[in-house]
Amino acid sequence: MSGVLPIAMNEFSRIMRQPIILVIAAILFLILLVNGASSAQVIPEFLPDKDDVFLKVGVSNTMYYTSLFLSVVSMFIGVLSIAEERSRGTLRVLLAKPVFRKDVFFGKFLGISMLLLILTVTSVTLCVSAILIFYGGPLSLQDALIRLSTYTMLIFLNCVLTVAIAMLIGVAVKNILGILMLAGSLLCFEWFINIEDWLSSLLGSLKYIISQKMLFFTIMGPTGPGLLHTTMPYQVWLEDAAPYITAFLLEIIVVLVLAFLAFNGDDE
Amino acid sequence: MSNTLNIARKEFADLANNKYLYIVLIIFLINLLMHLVSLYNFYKEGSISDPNFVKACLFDVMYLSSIYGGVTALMIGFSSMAGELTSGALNTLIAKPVYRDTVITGKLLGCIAFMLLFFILTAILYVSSEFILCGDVMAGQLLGLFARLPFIVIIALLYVMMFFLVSVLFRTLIDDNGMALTFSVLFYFVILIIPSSSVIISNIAALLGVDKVYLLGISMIIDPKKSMVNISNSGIFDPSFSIISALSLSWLEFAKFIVIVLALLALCYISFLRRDVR
Repeated sequence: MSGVLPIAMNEFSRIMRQPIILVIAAILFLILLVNGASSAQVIPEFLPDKDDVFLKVGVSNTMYYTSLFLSVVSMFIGVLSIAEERSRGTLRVLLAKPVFRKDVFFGKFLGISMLLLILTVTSVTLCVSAILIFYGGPLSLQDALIRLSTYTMLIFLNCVLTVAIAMLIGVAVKNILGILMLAGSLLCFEWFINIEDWLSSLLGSLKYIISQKMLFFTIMGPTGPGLLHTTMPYQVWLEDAAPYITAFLLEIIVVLVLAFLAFNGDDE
Repeated sequence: MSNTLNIARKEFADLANNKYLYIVLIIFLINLLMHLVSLYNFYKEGSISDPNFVKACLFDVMYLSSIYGGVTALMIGFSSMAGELTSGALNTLIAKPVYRDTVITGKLLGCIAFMLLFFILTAILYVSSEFILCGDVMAGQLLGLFARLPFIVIIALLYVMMFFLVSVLFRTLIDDNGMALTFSVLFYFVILIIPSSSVIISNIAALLGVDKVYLLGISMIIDPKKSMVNISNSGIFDPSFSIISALSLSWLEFAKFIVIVLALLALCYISFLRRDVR
């Protein structure tokens, strides 16, 4: 553990300086602010509604963009974390130090995850604060807080899974151009191809293993209205979503272990 | 001219030997297979009539080549510049007695030839597979189908050229490979999502106090997907409609694509000619 933290802190400060983080965060924050600022006009158009429109319209409108832009950040910082150091030769220097390989791998993973947690919490907070200022509060503060915390955690888990997949690509493929091309294509195809029907007929429930995006959006609303619809009690949503959340967590662990095994067996 | 052709030939060969590009192309072909199966299922169920089948077939070719081909073009553009910049081969190349514009022209020509060949093969593969599976509904309209195919490939090529040139431009301007590709992918996402997003357009319209429909109309000008939809609606897929009439109905969209492609081409040339290659 003592070796993990310094590497995590170093990784955190290294990626914090990447201009791409600032650019993507700026685009996302702008979308969230515009959404909040326009909520005073947009949200009342959906009234009257049985659901709390604060969550169903205000927050829900930003879900797609928040998950998309944070996935882009996660994918690229994930693939580059090890691949870039390997291509520059600094990974050799790091591995020559008295640290375990697991410290290097999980240190990097922890550092990236910390940054993504901060980005996710900031995004959701910014979105909610803007709606609070321009429109008003939710119908039930306690219910909204529980749902928003879960929403934040799920977006963060989506980012963590993307990072795990990205690190697996970054470790398994040796050529940095190849890594980037595979990561970029995976991201574009994942978000732009509607393969749900095809995968359903071919794989049944196993389709969720193939498509991370599909699994994420199914968790948000597994049976009809979802997490951000207050007509569905939180407990009911949780019971419906529990198997999918478990699958999500298992997928993260499996991909991470595979990436670590590939990194550990690497003859770098 | 011979130097340009030599560079183009080498670029084509490099792309043809890039194993990572093959993985991207395989993902593309999986999508093609999905569309093929889906159209075949419509045919089996009898839910699609004869003239509509040819329309659907042509639409699939254009949709596949443009929307999914955009990702492939992005990777081709990135790979063509990044490979030689990273390995230092470009330094060696520009130290030779060739003009820089010969280098960039050759590289662009090689890439365009590669994309064109890929799209032609995709179109032939798709149409011939459908013909084998559902020949009876296509037999009477084969001439109309093949007459439209070259136009559809050219439209798709014009569309993907935008993404190709953007990735070339970003890689020329940005030294870091990761950063250049991230910006290219980000551009792809932003240009395909933001202008067509009713949520974002509604938000901006509410904020500015303008009519949502009016703002949506303006956003469609910069939305390449909408331009493709307009071209599709012009009757280009309809064998009973004249190709010339269809093209004249959608000339504005063509002009838009051509202007964007020319502007990006000029930017690529300027950035490549004026920038130090490191």
